Amino acid sequence: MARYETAIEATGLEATPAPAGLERPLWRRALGGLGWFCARKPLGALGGALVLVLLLMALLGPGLEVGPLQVPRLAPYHYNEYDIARAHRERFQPPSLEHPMGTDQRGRDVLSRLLYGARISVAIGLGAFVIATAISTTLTLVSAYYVRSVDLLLQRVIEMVNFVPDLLVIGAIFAIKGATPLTLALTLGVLGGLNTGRVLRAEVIRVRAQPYVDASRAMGASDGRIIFRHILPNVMFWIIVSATNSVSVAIVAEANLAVLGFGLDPSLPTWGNMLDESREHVRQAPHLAIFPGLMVAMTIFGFRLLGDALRDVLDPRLHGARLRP
Amino acid sequence: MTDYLVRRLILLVVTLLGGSALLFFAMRLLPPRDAIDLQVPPQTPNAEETKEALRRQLGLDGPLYRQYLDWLKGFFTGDWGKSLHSHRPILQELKDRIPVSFELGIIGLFFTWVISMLLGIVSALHQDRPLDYVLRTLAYALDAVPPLLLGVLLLTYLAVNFSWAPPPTFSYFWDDPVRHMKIMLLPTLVIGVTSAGNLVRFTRTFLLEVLRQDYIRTARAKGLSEGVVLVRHALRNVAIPFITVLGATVPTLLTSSVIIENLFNLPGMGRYTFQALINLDYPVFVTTTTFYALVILTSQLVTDLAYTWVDPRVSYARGTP
Amino acid sequence: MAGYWQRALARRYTRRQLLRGAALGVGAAVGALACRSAETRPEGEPSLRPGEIPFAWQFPDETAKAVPGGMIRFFYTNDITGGFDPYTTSSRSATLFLASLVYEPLLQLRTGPGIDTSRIENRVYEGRLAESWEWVDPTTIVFKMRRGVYFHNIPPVNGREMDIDDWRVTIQRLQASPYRVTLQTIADLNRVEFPDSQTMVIRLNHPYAPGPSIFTTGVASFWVMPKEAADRMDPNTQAIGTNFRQLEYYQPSVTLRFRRHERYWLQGRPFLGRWDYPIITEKANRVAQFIAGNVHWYQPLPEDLLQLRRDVPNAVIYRAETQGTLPISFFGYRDLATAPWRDERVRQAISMVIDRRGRFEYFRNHQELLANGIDQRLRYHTHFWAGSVFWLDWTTGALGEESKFFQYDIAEARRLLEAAGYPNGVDIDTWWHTGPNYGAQYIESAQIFNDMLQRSGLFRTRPHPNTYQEYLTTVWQKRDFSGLALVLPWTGVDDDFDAGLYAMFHRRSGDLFRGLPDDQLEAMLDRQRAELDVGRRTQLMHELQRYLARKMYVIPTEGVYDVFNFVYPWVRNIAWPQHSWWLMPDTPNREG
Repeated sequence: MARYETAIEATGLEATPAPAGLERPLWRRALGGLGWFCARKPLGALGGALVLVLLLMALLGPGLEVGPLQVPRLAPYHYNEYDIARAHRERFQPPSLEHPMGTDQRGRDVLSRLLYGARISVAIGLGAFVIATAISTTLTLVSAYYVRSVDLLLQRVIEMVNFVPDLLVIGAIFAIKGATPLTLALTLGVLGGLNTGRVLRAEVIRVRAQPYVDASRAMGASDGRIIFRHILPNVMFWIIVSATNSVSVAIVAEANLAVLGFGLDPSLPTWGNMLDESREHVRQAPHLAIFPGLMVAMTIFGFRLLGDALRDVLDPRLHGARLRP
Repeated sequence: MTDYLVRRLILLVVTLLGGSALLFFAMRLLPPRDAIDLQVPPQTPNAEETKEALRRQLGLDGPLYRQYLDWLKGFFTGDWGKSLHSHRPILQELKDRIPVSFELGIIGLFFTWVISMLLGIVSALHQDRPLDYVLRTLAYALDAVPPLLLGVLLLTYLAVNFSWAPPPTFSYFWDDPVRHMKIMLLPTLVIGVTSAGNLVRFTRTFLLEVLRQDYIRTARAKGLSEGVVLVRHALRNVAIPFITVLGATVPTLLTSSVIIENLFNLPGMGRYTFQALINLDYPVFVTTTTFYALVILTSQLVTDLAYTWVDPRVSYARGTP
Repeated sequence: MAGYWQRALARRYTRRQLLRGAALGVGAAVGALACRSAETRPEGEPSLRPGEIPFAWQFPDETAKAVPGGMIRFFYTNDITGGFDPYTTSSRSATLFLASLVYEPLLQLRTGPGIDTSRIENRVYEGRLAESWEWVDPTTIVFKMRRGVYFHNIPPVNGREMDIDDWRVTIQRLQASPYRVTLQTIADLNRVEFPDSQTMVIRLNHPYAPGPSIFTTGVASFWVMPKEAADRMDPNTQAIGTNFRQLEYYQPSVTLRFRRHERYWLQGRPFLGRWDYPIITEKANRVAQFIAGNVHWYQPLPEDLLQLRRDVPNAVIYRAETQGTLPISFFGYRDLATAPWRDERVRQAISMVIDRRGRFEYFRNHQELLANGIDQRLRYHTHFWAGSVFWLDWTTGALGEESKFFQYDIAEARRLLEAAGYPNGVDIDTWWHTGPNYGAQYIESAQIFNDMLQRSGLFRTRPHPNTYQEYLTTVWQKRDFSGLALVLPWTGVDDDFDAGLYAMFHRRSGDLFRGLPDDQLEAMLDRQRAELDVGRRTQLMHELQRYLARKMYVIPTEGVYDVFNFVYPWVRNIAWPQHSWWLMPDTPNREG
């Protein structure tokens, strides 16, 4: 994914400083911003709505219990609810009122399984994002801003890891050690961090060379000040965009691994596992393939729309800039 | 320029050496350490001797660093070793599989290109009008479809409704071109359709950008028709950034096609590599992965060079970050 | 001695099946076995209840109308990741499948139209590469080699005639094989002699009551290879045998293609010119290929059968011989000294919280098929393979009092646990692997087993789904785990199941599953093997079976079942083994 963006960046767009915030109460500004975003970026708003639906599914689908607060689960059934003796009657039911997305080969409710699966997918995606961001920002700032030799070494290491396609790296790790949601999030996080790190590094080097950074250094600004006032704001949009990316990357990776046989424990109702199992029954029960497939598609669709819209809005170089090669 | 090339080549070799060493030792030192254990059950009479014999036969005895050096030497001299399980030479196996994977990638890319060019251009020409939104939404939707789902549904319903399925036994283009095209049609279409989304947006963005340029305005002012402006002036410039994108697609082409290869029964490289992973056939895995790396690194280098060649404004003189 | 085997069967049993290892694979299954019966009508279709599906042997004999030539298209489901040599390669199932197509065994069960092998009087072993065989005394078997058998015309063998040295080399390779499955069956072997150019004499250390089953097709097969395999060719990359199919072409991940062996010893056979086995790993693709008519034969899962019948209304459907695996759940040795399962009552309780009927009927889709008039014969394993000679059916109570250990009875299981000192239930680790190696059904089967333990309320499971590699080394090879490894699909069986029992429970050939020392069990195993009197051996085997049910060292589940095959109507003569199949002249794309 990141490589396309790199290509877009590589053409070099002129930067102008971001306009100053307007003096209004925060909530008014937020609401106004939201309205502006919806009007300006209708596709992005659609994406945002889909993402919101997904987050709500993940949060409420399997039920919620935080201290005294108890929210009953949204899913009509538990994800592993079946009766082996009745399975032959209850299996492969097409969508109905009782089972809005039908039932699977053991008579389990597909909708409930998708809702439980949403939490796993979102958790992995967010976990991967947190790890990736931590890694990429630290690495980048350290190696691109401070130390040349560290940078050289680090870039080689990143290249060595990067030169193997991600799917193979993850496959190799899981073929040997097995996949759990935690290891998947870790692996995706580290790989994603290294990938984003490359892009961020280029960005930091570019910003570092800007005259205003030189100017503030000449005026005696500390490194910390330069990093937090000048460099981070300029790369912040990248981090936000990669966050929107990492959830869909995690979902795609999970699905691919499940299909290839290196996935998470098949007892877990992840979307990838459901997609994988559905292949066996696609003629009899196409809904088993279509609904998880739609969920995966909807998630990627939503995050992509949102991510691209956010980048357009947040990228400081695009603010009021006239595009020029 | 030569300076730059030499620097890049040295870096390439360093990366390749380091990466393959990392891979080699990781595969051999992580548990389960010895894939030979998997082959010779402990209950076997003379299990230890049998294992020793197997190791000798497959060149897996002696200290690990020496094995690595031997392997490295073999890799560069064309002796790529044998599979742990089938004892078939890896090089021979790859010779049969490389054309399949590359063809799958290239035709798939061609479909991607056709679809994304068409949608992208139409979308750009209708900027911010309803058709633009529809096409852009479509582009995002194409991106989101899991290739497996599309493939499985196509196979099933083409067979059920039209009694048609691609021929089950693969044959190469030079053996039977018609049959070959019948086999390759579905998988390449699936790849083309599911990976077009990104490029649609890409084409649209760049075309819009180009259309705002002064020279386009000049061309229009000269009284040239829209069509001529588009084809003669605008599209030519879209080709430049396209090259980088194509270069960036090579790694994805090689691996993400493994699902397609399995689904459509194609003898590709991805399938070979993942089989090796399932069976912990590490000579195969390490060698094929290093080969991937070589291809990917080379393609990156070529892309960068092509980029300078196409776009003279980019130079790789020393000092450029 | 020669008639021992037949006498044993005829005297006591009316229902028995020759069982194939599931490993033999789909294609071999079709032609390898068939049967004859006194009451069949060889002419025309048998009269059946509406909706019922006939057995292959119930189809008419169409040999006289045969039209030679043509290419038949099957498929194979897995990539062949190992070598070709059934005696040395490490990835066995695909290799054994290939071996069954290229090589031939010494003996085979007589099969053909009207031969119903579920009737014991029809179970006759006939020579294949051996012309005849005889038990001279309890420890000596003499085989006479068939004359006029030629190998495939491929260098370095070049179609020469089979001689006794080929047998010698084969038996040497068999004995040197690192796989216990082949070794254990001949564990009693003293030596093999070749007194003349046509005779092989096998001398055993002990009388071996199970008889010749080890020399027929099956897991422990004796595939005759050319003597060149010892030095002049690599049997891992070349397969040259005497079968009526000759390997013409193999491309990894693409296809196995065979052509007619021109000098096959059976005159005029085979009728078919070619066999194509494209390797199709994806199920959706296999179904699509069959529906589109690109492959001629398909075996659907039971839940897909009715749908496929609607999709391909012109296909001929027939039942094949019963098949299955023996799914075994076994205990780990890590906490051998302290584990709750040391107490046999705990093991019995585990067995009794498993709803075997529910599981088996679910996997075979029994109720739905029954509602559509298709009655599958489901027979449930004890520790003996269901349907094998000495098997007793626990569902009918034939196993006696011990039948209850296989019944689903949570109340009784609770009482047993309380008696064993676990009134609050038992914590137990459960292990399986999630790799693709045993197929999707294995994983589902393990999950359901785990759910059954958990839902009984008597066991609290801690599931450990592993990778295949980890499972293979720590769970399977080293037994370094605590608790229960679930539903391993065991196929180490032969006709008599003596070899299977030895492999599972006797130290001499591995003691795969027992864990706890039990001299009485080993003595019982040794005694039955040496007992040549049919009546007394039967009694010993029944005692042994009841003893195993009580001890419950491993937890067997499921059983054997019928499979249903679809074939296009232009494939004829399916009552015979494949050498007599032929294709109608109007077969679409007949020559491939």
